[in-house]
Amino acid sequence: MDHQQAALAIRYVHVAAMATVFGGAFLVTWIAWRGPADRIADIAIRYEQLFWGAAGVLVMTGVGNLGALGPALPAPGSAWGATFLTKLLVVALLVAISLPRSLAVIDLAGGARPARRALRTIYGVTTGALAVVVALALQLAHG
Amino acid sequence: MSGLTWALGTFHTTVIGIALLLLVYPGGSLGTTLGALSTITGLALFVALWTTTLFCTGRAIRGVRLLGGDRASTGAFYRRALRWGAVNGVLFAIALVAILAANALAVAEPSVGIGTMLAIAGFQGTFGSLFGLAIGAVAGLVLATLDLAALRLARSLASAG
Repeated sequence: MDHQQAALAIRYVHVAAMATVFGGAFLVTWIAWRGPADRIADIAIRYEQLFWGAAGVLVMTGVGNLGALGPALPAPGSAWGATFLTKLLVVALLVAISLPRSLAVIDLAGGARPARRALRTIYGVTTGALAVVVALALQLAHG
Repeated sequence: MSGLTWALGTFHTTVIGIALLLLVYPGGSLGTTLGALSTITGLALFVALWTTTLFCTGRAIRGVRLLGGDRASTGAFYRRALRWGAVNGVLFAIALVAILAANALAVAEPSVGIGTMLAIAGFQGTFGSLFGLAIGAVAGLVLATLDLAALRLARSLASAG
């Protein structure tokens, strides 16, 4: 596999992982509003397992995408650099809010009472943060 | 592997990755540094970091009740984080040297002595482990502080449900 093929494969996996976490968060938010109350905790637990796998893959392939640019990586002082730093900070914020969300879901799954209100809020916030990351990624790729 | 180990271990790995990017990119040398690594080497390094961090996080929280009643004390949690953070630093330093040595061997000219390269790798691994021990211990304490803050927030979220 040459350098270009490897870079394309890494970019494909990066986009697929982002589609998984963003689509999944949107779906869990919708289920928290409209879905069966007795299933929401199980679905949220499955999403959390998927989320952290995808998060690791996203960071790994994100670094791979930067490596593919090599010395051609735009400088931090450029418009691209400012957008990239903004994206990194939003991703850091997303990761920071995701750990308490995952721990809360694990805690809630062990209890008997439904927690739809809390789940609606935390998955709504997650979906919003992911939408911002996607918008910034689009700007970096096509802006 | 428990869901808690998976979430905490991957959280630690992603925090380390993002923190390194935030530290190195503003300096302007990130592209050159990453460009010097092959794709496979870069991926292998991240997988090594992820694997050692998951292993050490699992060992650090084994038998500790972090959620629900009868929770572990903060002091005991920090002691485990210090110990297993240091172990993680050593394991990753060894993996780093091993992967870079394997990469160097793969691209080396036939005239280069394998014995010399292995001796250099052994030397780097020994000193790298000492650095890894210190950096890992500090990182363990910082990450344990983030974990405890996240646990407090998680309990508030769960009780608000």
